[in-house]
Amino acid sequence: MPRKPGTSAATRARRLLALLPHLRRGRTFSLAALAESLGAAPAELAADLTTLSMCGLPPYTADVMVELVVENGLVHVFSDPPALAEPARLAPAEARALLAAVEACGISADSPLVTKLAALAQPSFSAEELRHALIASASAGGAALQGVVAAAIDAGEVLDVDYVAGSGEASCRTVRPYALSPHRGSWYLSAYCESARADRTFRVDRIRDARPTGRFFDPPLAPRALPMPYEIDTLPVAEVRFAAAADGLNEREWPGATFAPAEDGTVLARVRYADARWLARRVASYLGQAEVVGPAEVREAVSRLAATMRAELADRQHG
Amino acid sequence: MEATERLVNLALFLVSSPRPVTAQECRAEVAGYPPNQDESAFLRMFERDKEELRAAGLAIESVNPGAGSEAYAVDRNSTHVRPADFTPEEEATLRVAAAALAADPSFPFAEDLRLALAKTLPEVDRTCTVPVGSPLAEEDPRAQGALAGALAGASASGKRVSFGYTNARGVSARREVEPYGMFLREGRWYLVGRDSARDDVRTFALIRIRDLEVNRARPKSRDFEPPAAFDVSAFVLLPFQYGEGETREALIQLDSRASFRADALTAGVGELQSAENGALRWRVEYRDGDALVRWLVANGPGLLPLEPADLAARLDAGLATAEACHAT
Repeated sequence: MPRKPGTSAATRARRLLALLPHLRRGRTFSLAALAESLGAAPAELAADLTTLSMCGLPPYTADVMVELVVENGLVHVFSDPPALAEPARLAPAEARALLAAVEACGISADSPLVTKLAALAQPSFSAEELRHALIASASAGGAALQGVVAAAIDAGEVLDVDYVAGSGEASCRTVRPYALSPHRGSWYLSAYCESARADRTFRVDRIRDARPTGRFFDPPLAPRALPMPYEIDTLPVAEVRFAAAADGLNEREWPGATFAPAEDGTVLARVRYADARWLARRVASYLGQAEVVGPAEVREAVSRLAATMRAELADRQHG
Repeated sequence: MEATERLVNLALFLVSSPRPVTAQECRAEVAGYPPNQDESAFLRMFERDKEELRAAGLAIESVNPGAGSEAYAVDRNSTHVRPADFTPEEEATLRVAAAALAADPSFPFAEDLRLALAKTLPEVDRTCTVPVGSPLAEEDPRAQGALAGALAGASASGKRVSFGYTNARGVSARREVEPYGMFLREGRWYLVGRDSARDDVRTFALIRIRDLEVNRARPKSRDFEPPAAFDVSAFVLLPFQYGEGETREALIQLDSRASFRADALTAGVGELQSAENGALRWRVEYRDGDALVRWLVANGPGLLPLEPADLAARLDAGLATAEACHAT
C-alpha cells in the first residue's frame, strides 16, 4: 500500500521494534510480505531495515548489532537481536486498536480471544474501561461462528452450514468459503455453494451452525467478496410504492434503490432483488404503507408472508 | 544520523541496562544524539524519545524523579509478555481483522492495529489469505474514519471538542462537547458526550459533524472526567427505542428460527429467558410501538409479540392491510 512520504521517525522506529523479536538468526523473509503486514511501502521498509542493520548496543561492534541484509526482495537475518528479542506488551493505543478490530469482526467481549488479547497489554490498560468508552461492533451483536468461517477460508476447507435465509427458508448447504465482508452493520460470507452449484452470499449472523468437513478445495485464483444483490445489474427490478406519509421510509434502508417522488406525495422506488421472499419481508414490514406494483411474484410473496404471519400470531394467541 | 536509528538504539540500550541510567549516560552511550547539542535541546529531545518508546510499549520508569540523579529503567514485567497461545480459529480471526480493518479508511486505529498484530501474531510475514471487501462505515468512510480517530483521541485524553452539527431535522449549530465515548452501529460511527450548552449527554452521528476542533490548550491535562458510571453501551439503542413516547416494556417470543441469532438480534439490549422448544422470551423496553412491530417483521422469521396485547393487535392490523393491498 502506498504511504505518504512523511511517515514519522517514531512510527518507523515502532515498526522496527515490533519486527525485532521475529528477526532470528538464519531466517529469511519476503520484503513484500513484511511491508504488507506493517502497512509500509516496500522501498520505505527496505530503507528502514538498512537503518536497523546499523543499530545495536554500545560499543556498536559486530557482535552487538542487528545483522541483516536486504537483497533482491528478501531480508536475510544473520544474528539474533542484541536485546528486545522477546515480544513487547501492547501499548494502550495498540490494545485499543486490536480489541476494537476484533469486536468489529463480531467477536463478543466475553470470548476467550478477547481475554487472551487483553492479557498481552500493559498493566495500565483496562479492557473494561475501554468497553465503557468504545463499541466498535459492526453488527448488531456477536457472530459466534466468525472464527470457524475465517479458519476455513484460511485453510481452503469446505464447510457444511445450516442457514436461515432472510426469506425464511432454512437449509443445510455445503460451501467453499472464500471471502468475508462487512456491509451495513452485518458480516457476509461469499462462497461457492456446492448444493446450488453457484456463488452465494450468506449473512454470517444467520448461519445457525458451520462444521468443517475435512475436505479441502483450491481457492479461486483471485478470490474476492461477491457483490451484494442490489449491485448485480442482471437481477430483476421490482417497483415499490411508498404511501405519502410512509412511516419511517428511510432511503438508507434501501441501498442501490432509486426513488421517484410523485405529485400525490407517494414515492416510487425501483429495487433489485435476488429472492422475491426476501423483498417481500422488507415490504411487509411497512405494514401496508408500501405496496409492490410489480412483478406479480413479489406481490404474491408479500400477500403470502402477511397471511402466514397472521396465522402464526393467531396460533400463538389461541394456542 | 536518523531519528529512527537513535530511537532504536535508545530502546536497545534501556532494556539491556542492568541498572537505571541517567539522561547523561544515555547521551554519552547511545549512538545518535548530536554531539554539539546544547543541554536544554538535548533534554527536550530525550523527553520526546522516551514518550515515543512508551507509545511503542516500553514501560520506562523513572527512579528518583525530580532529583538531580533522576534515572530511567525499563520494567521487564510490564514490558515483555509470553506469546499468547491462539487456536487456529482465533489466529484466522485476527488475520481477518487485519485484512478487513488495517486498510479500511473508516477504521480509525489502522496504524496501531498493524503494530499490535506484528507483536501478537507468531508469523509476521504471513499475510491474510481471506479477502475482505467494503469498509465498516460506507458513507464517506475516509471522513468518518478521520473524525473517529480524532474524537477517540480527545475522548481518551479528556479534551473538550467543538464542531458544527446538523441534526436530523436539518438544523445546524456549533456544539461544545465533552466526548465520553463512541460506538459503531449499522455502518455509522456515533459520539456520546456531554453537550455543555444543553447540560445533557447526547448522541451525535459523525456523518453530521463538520469542522471538528479539539481543545489544544494544556494538552497534557484533562478538561473533564466522564461520570464514574458512564457506559457507552447504554446509548446504543434499537430503532424502536427512539422517539418521544413513554417507555414501555414488551415481551417478544423468538422461536427456534430466531433464537440461535438472539445475540445479533438483541445487541445485548433487554433480558432473554429460555422457553419451551428451543424458544426464547425477550423482555425489552420500547418507545415506538409501530417501529417495534415493523422491526419484528423485518428481522423475522420467528419473532412475535406476546405482551402487551396491543402490539399483537397492531401487528395483525398492519399485516391485514399489507395482505389486502397485495391481494390478486
